[in-house]
Amino acid sequence: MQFSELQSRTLQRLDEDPTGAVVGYYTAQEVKDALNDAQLLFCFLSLCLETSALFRLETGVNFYPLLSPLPDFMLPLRVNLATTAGSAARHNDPRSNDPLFNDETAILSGSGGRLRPVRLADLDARDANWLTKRETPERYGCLGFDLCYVSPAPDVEGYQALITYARSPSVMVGDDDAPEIPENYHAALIDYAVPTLRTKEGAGELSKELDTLRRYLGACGELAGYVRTRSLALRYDKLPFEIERYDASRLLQIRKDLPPWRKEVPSWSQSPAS
Amino acid sequence: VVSVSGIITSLAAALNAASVATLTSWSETELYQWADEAVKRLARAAGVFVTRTEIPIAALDNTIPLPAGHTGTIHVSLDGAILRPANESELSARDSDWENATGVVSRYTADTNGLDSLRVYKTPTADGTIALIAREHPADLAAASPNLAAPDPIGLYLRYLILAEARKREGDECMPDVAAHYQERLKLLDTVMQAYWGGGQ
Repeated sequence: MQFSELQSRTLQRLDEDPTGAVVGYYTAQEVKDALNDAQLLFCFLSLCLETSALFRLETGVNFYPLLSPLPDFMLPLRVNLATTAGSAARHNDPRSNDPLFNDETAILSGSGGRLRPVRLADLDARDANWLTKRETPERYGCLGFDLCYVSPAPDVEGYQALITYARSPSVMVGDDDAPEIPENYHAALIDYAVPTLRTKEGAGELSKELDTLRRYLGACGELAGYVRTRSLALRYDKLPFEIERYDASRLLQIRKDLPPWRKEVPSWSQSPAS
Repeated sequence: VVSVSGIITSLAAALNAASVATLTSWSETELYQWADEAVKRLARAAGVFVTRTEIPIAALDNTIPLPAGHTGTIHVSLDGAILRPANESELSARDSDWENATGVVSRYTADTNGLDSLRVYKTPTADGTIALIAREHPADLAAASPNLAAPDPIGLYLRYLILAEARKREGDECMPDVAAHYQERLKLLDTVMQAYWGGGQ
């Protein structure tokens, strides 16, 4: 579905002119913003967009910033050691002549193409001198969204990390842009945009659309479930949030102790319990 | 990079105004203040903002001043040698004269000198560089400094918190139930960010 169609359908659901020619209560820009937010939250909850990028490792350097070289970075999923040619190191590694050398043995032996995740506390516990060690990197970790570390630090020039990461979607601007999430979930973006836009009309209008927000979260959970299964099979280091385990009941209802509910059904008007 | 000015501009419509300049119940400054509060709240709630800072330390100096915005220490090393955390009673049990001991630095403590500095044990006899990995909150957000180096989903967090605070404000455009709804969206994001990046303070 193209961005223009998403906007048109959203406006239609809001009972506005779907062509956008007549500006009503909602501006075209706020509809666009709501749809872009919908896609961003969808990707954040489901980690459905991933990409790989090469990341240069410097000799003797353990720590690297991630956000400046990878502006769409959200979470690391997998890190492989790569050569300067960009292919995974194991393809050019002499050990790849060994028929037993594959991902499985690499992970079990702890020396191979894939860098395994590790916490700083574990590195400290394993080797008090890990910060000064110079060898082929074997482990990596991330703290926050920006700080990445490898251990040991590379001993020679030429190492690169091939990092597979969950990324943010591109912002949709033009009418012929399309969301990057799978096409069968495009309509879910409208399910987020409509209740979000309705909030400026107050709780009365919002409450009518909370079921669509529930449907949106359901769609996120559904795709996140698929991504989780796939990530487990690929032995990714991060899995999508389990939204189905989150108690969203308060998110999906209007609090009855606040206006206007309180005004509509004042406690004094209710008959006392017999 | 999250453009806070872009978020605030786009929120004008959600606050029933044509532009930020025509907001009736709130000012642009207030919206920036809420964005700033959102970042600081997030820094406490989840381990999102983590930085590595190198701090020079002189010989015979055992105090490390913590950077502005410091919320929690994760890892400390001196010239590549790991320093283990310790509290004052552990140091006292280890060395009755620990405050005056000089030599190879092996521990750090946050128990002395208040909350804005660390102290190392033993006092170093040579100049060095401390590498401090810590949770911090970024510099204050304001109209003059409207950009935040953070991934895009943090922008959603700012948006929700600004709307929650704005709609909570007593006045003609107060919508406490909408504010409560946005607070619930914030709680969802808090939980997701803690799941992805770990806890905060």
